[in-house]
Amino acid sequence: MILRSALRIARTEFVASLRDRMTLVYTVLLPLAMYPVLFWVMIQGYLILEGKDRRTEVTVALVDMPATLDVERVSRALESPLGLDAGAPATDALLDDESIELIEGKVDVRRLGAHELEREHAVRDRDGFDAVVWFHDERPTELLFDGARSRSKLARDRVEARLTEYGLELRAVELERAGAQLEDFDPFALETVDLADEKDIAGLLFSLILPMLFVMMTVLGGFYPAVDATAGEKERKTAETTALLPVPPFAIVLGKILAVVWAAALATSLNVAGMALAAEHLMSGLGEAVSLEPPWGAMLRMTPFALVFLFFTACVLVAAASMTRTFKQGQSMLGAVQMLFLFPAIVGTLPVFDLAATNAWIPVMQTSLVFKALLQGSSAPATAGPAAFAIVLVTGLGYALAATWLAVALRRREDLFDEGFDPKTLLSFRRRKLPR
Amino acid sequence: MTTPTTDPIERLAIRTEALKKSFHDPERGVVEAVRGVELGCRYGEIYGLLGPNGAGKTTVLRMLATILAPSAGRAWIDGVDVAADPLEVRRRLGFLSASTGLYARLTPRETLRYFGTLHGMAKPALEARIDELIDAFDLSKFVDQRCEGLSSGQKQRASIARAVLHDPPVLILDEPTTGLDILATSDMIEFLGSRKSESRCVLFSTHVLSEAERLCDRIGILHDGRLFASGTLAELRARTGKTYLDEVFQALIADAGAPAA
Amino acid sequence: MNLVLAILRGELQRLVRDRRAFLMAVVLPVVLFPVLFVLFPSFSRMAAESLDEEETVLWVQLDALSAAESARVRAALADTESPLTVREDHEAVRNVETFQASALDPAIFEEDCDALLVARDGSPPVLELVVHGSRTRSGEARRRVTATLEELLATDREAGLLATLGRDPAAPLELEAVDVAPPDDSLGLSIGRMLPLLAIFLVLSAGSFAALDTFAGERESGTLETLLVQPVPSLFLAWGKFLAVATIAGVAFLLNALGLFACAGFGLGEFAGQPGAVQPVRVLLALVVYAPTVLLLAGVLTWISARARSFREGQNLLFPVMLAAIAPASLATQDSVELDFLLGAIPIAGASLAMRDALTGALGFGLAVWCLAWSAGWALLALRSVASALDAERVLVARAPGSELAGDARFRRAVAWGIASVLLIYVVGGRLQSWSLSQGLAATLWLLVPALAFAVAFDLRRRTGAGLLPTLLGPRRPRALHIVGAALIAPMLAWCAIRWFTWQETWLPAPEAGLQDLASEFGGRGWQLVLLAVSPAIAEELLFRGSLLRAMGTRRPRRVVLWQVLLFAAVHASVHRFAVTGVLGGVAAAVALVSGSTVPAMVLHLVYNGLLVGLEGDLRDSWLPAIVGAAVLGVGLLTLYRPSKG
Repeated sequence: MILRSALRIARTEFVASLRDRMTLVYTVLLPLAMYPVLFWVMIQGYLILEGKDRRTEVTVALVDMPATLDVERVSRALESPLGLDAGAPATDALLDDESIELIEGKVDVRRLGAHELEREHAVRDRDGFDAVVWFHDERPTELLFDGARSRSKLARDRVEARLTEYGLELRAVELERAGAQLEDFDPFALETVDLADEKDIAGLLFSLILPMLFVMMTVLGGFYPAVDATAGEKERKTAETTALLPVPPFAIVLGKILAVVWAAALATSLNVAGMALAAEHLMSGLGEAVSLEPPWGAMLRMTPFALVFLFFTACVLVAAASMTRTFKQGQSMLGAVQMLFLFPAIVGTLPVFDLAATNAWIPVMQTSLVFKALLQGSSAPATAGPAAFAIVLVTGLGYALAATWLAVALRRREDLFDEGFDPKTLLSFRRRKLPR
Repeated sequence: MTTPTTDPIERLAIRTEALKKSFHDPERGVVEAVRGVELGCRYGEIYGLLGPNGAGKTTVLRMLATILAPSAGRAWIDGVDVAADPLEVRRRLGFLSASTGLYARLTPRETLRYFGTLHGMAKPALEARIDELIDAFDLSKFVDQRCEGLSSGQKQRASIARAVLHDPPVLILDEPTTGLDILATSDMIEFLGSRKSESRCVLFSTHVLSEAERLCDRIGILHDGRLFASGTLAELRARTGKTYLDEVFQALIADAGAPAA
Repeated sequence: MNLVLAILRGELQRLVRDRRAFLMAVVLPVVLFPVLFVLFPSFSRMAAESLDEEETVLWVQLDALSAAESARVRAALADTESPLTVREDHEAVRNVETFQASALDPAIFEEDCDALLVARDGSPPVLELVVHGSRTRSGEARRRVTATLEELLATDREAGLLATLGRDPAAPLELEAVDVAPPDDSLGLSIGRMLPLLAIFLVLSAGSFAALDTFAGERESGTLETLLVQPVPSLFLAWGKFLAVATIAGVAFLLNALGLFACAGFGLGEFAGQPGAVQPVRVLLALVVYAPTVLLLAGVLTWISARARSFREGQNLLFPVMLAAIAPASLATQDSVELDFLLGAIPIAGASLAMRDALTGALGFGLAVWCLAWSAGWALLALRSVASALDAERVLVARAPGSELAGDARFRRAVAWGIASVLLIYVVGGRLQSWSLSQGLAATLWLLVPALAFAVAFDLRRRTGAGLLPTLLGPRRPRALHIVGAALIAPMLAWCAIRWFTWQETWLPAPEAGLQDLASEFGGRGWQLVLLAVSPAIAEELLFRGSLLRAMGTRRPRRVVLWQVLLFAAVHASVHRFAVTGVLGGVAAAVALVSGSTVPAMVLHLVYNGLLVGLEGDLRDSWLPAIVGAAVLGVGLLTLYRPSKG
């Protein structure tokens, strides 16, 4: 009986909120259209910045360069990533080595003596150098840069990459002359075999993003329907009508919660879909050959936990929104509520935390942890056993019921009915109840 | 300039000439809300604008109050052209409508002070005027409470005080009694009578016929954006041959409906 | 001015009195955001540290190594900084001969084993490290073992080099990076990285609360009408309200920024450099360069909430603004992004970067003035729109005034179709082309774009009864003179496009391959022409200069051309090609409008693309007189033979 009334109320609320054109646009159309646009902006921004980076010229000083180094060749090695002695076998071997990253962009090289430059000001002066390579006889060579200036850091990266590369080349060439190879000195060769397959890696990547995304989307998707169903109702003056319905308050609250669950589920799935679509687009736009197959099996196993979390979130949101009287008051809570949900969710995705019976009871974080464990699949730690999963389900439902009880209790308070929530009376639920 | 009414402009508190207003509605295309209204109200007169919902009453009043710009035609308040000098018109006008609210988080006194400042009243004069209004409208009990806690009657009295704060020669009221209880309504009616005795002009719209019957010196019947009849109650009775205002009203509307359809 | 101040005072008084909302929208974020921003880095550092301390277990089987080498490896592994337990004799590797890492059951990593290190015979012997990369601890074990062993290898190489050559030729090139930035610069940078984003959150959170309350809230409480009949110009009202929004937003930002600087000063939180104060001059400069941006955001908020019919609608409208503002502000978090004259001109981005650089003391006078001028310009633009925010007709009636006729509704619908088409082409077409560039492009041009053109045309027919063909191809039969005229303009456009690209490269360098490189992916010249010249000319013109242009109507040609420029540039989805494609779209739209037919626009597009693809951008300067002459003649032909009205 209660459930039937609740479902009926939920359906009415849900349909009513979907009839609102704005809600429809914002829950359905926006996620599908916004993410492609957003990702387009990101791609274009990336391309602009990359183009600018490549074009930026940095000036580097070589100070007190020892005679053992060939100035010409060091400068050439510095000036552009392909300035090595092309054609020499050692150079070609280096260029084929994929571990060496070619950092594009021009470097303008000057050679100076130590007396021509003050160490303190060499890279600090506005018209000074972007980086200074300072050679010493006894000590290792210093690369001076200014960590607070982006151009200087750019110069540092280029110089580091190219001089290291040139050093490798020098060694290879001289060893070749002596009839040796660097590898000859190795006492052993090191090979790494990673047993994780593509699916495991994809699972790991998804486990870093999906839990947080899910929590964020659920809160965002459920927030406005929750405010609409509570504060909005008070504002529209339909609260009295609903209160007069011959159904227990519990059914009304449950109905509202279910409506919020549906709305949040709709918004979440559309948002995730839109984002997945756009993310794939982004990958192809940046020319990356990433074949990330979504972990369908894990996602299926996540469903019951997702539903519990949706229900829990809806309960908390409805309870929180019950404390407000107007839509405005409701919406001003958004920032705080979002933070309260996001923080534990983010903490849960940190690599140190794994699902275990000891932390499975922490609200919100439990969802992050459970998702992570399921997405990592067989790679999940042993602590994530059935006991932990059961704790998540049971406590999640328990919190949801507690929040429902709170929402029902708040609903019965007549002072909330017309004056909104007064923090001072929060703890006195027994005062001034509406007759049942 | 040809004027349809015999009174010269200066002697009329409110006058309109072929006033028109059209809107564009996404669903229905161009909607002509007001289609050429000729209106004239004298000083010391209460003029009632009667008409069913959607007749264009609010649009006419809002054009007179310079909130909306007429699509065509002209209007004068206290001799000032509405389109040419809206600010001057607003200085000579008090406006109050049923949907008018008060700032929930200000007290009536603060509200009066705020609007007085906007009217450019000097501080001592303003405070004196506020005290005067507190006496006149019996606001003293709640003048320093926030408006959100006031009863609808108290709010209405504060609103009226706000509308006449700058002592305007013309008062325009859009359905002022909608949503008021009997006591508040009678306060309102009493107030309207007092304005008349101060030889101010009051133009108000209503769809409560008994109010119009009791208060108005002259009545205009607005239907479908046109003013179909205007005159004293006696004149309208004579024209339709009916006694009671609701019968008069229905007869006039029926007459009007025929050519309009 | 007194009036504006009176309004400002009234607004502020009311805003501050709504204590609960004020607390939640203004006070709470001011306190909460910095706490989180400061706490979170410490938290993730703690997390990383505890990962460092996590016990990992490595099983070794080193029988293939010499005794001395094996002892050395063991000693090195035992000496790692992070706890690494080395165990011997795992059952999976008892028999090295038959051991195959790939055949191993990954389940062994579930208990008490994070990595296996197996030595095999060889010259030199091979050490095989077996891990499971998607497991946190296994990955950690890999990191530790690899680092240790590589250090071992490096030592041996160094020794070998010295033995063979007597010295390491690369020794002088081994660099020790020294950051010479003084601590207050580093501190400034670490604050400057997060302050722009914080500023956006705070200004939008506090500002939207104020903006929604002063407009939508006032509309809902019914006081807006009262306000509008006061003898105060609506401009003053809008200004007063705008100032209230700006004040609340500005104060929230200021409090926050000062709080952050105070935290840094007292050494709270994770800031780079030593705890210490940022120089007050820098703080002041940072606040000054950012001030116009606060005004800009407040202006946008004001404008949007004035447009919203209710609190809720305003709230919905604000969400995209938030997203749009976060993107440019987040540039400041990227250390590699350097402020320059181009970025300085972009709203929010320029000011955010300038604020960061001001805090590190790297902001030069010229750039500071430039950024300030641009953001002040953007703010003024926003303020101009604020002036019309309280247009009573729109505010109260929520319907467009009567002067706007049915044509505008039709135009808006056409623009909506245009935007939807652009999005669909971007998403679906992009998807198709990521599968296969040539086939995807073909499918987009031959199926998707024409389908959209027909859809728009059908919609127009349903609404106005316009025929399908006159919509797609234009209401008039194409005239030969118009076609020739259009073809004659194309070389000029192509020439301009090539010069523009060359010039653009100097200030907006493109990292991507040019059109020519792209073209080479399509095989022979013939195919290139079909895919890159003929197909776009037909398909894109059918949609843009056909259906969409006719759906927009011809009543206000300038507005039509403007939207054609925007839509056509947007559909090409590249900032680097924006200007060039926009110009082509505009010219083609003008041609279609003048000639009353889509065909000349198709010819223009065909010749233009054909020249760019066929000549590979090689339009010589010596041809310029001929190109200009042809263009003049073309314009002449197009304008002289105007079809008679009717």
